[in-house]
Amino acid sequence: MLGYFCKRILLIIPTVMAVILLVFVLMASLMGTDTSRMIRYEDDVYGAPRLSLLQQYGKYCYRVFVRGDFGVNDSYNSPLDEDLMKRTAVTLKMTGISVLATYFAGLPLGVFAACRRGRWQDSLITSLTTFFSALPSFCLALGLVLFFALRLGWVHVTLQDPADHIIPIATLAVIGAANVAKVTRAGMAEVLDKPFILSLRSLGLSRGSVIFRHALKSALIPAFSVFNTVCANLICGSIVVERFFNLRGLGTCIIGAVGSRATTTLMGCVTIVALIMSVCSVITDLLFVLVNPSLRKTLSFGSRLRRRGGR
Amino acid sequence: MRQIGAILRNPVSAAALAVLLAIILFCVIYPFVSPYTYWEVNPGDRHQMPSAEHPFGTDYLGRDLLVRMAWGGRVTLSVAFLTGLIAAAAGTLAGIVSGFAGGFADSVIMRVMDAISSVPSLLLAIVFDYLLGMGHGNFLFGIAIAGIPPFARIVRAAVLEIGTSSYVAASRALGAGPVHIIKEHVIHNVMPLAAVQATTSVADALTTCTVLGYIGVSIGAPRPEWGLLFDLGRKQLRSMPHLSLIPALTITVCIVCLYLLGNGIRDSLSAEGDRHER
Repeated sequence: MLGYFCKRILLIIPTVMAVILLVFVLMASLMGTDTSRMIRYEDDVYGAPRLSLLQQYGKYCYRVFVRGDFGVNDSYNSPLDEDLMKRTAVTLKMTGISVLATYFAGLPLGVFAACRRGRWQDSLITSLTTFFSALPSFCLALGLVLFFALRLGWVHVTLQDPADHIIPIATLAVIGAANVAKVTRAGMAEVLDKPFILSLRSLGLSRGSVIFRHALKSALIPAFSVFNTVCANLICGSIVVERFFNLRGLGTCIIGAVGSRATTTLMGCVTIVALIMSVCSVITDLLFVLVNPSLRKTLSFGSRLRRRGGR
Repeated sequence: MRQIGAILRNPVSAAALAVLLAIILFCVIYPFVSPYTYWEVNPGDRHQMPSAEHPFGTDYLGRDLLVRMAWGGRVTLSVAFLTGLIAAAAGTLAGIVSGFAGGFADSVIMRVMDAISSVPSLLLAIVFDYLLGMGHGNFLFGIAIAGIPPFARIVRAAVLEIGTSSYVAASRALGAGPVHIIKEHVIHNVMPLAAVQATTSVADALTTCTVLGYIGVSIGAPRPEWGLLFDLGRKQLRSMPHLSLIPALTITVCIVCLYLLGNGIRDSLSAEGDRHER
């Protein structure tokens, strides 16, 4: 078990390196980008030393992983790492809180909808979740701002106080919670149809105890198997939300870099996003093992973790 | 034809279809009727509130928002429907091949689908647009590709189910080849499911397209797009909220209508299925 997760954590580095290689090759071959700019130092007035693509790649990886140096900002000729770290902190704080909120809201909603299958509560929750998971996040952000900030005046549009950040977080959380609730409802509904639920009920266990102590365990498996997808969607959503609220996070950085063709900045953002996503996938596996005890035995035999119940 | 009749008899889905058609018709016709164009700048008419002359008001360059909404709808809706249909065609094909061939081809196709669906569609579209050159509509590829996996999964599952049914076995026993079975049995059974999924897929494509327009990865600047219009209005949110509220509401209405239409199709199909079983 422990060995498996140590291996998974170590595997993050080659995964991220593969992503960097892919982007390097695509940029150089499809776009004809001068990739040597990515390994430039601030005082390299005459450009970076001439190296082959593979050497550039090796040097970039060395600088990123060993020295934590993301190169030089193309527009301002200043080191990127401090700016990128600040932006990453902003994005991570926002998405992290909204991932937690997503699960705290989505799981109960999904379970509730599954328990009320076929009644109006179920159809209400199902249609709301379908609606919110399809809605562009900026429409929701606009609605929340117009109502809570401009009509009620509870928060500032400019997000001056830390408490004002509840609006961007709520925007992300509503969309994430819709996804989680949808999956949880499907999983729970499937479990509730199984014969063992009926036999537990006929043994005299109360409805609540059957749902929370027996059915929930199996229903959590699909809910946590989408953890990765939820994180990916929230990171994507944070691009939109950061732009809407003018937050200096990774998302606005990516938009700016794509717009101004700032290769080094974009590469740094891609590296960080790849890193975040790989960590999320490790967390997904960890959650999976937590909710699915049968995997623990499989893992201790050293076989690979199979994504069961995933979509 | 009978199925279309069943959809139209359902008041909710008929209303949804009517609203969608009205929006599409408006986008097609209004630019011909309107005295304004989407590119003409009118410095004297900047920041007008909605009036008889400009029903939706004007933006910071004095351009009429109503006609820009119509032009933007042409772009947004055609991108949504086009990519949705490309995804439907490609996904159905992939699903049929995957379900029919089985074995190695099946596992390769489904692993590719897993890989595609693990990347958010927004990122996929940005990457395609960035790598293939921006401003040439290359984001279309990203949106279309992101829409393929759900189709492939649904169609594959349907094909596998149909393949085990007795009438396909009977058909095979009578000497029917795979082409005949696909044409006569598989397509007939898969089409309704694909139609439901197509509404979802168009709605998703619409979302991605507007989000791309909103973050500025879309068609070039003077041409409007609903997401882009929303973004332009965002700067006057306090004084003129209608500039971004109108695009946002239109997008929302379109998505809701697509979902209601999909629900209507599903309901009428399940009613149909019940009738057959009886």
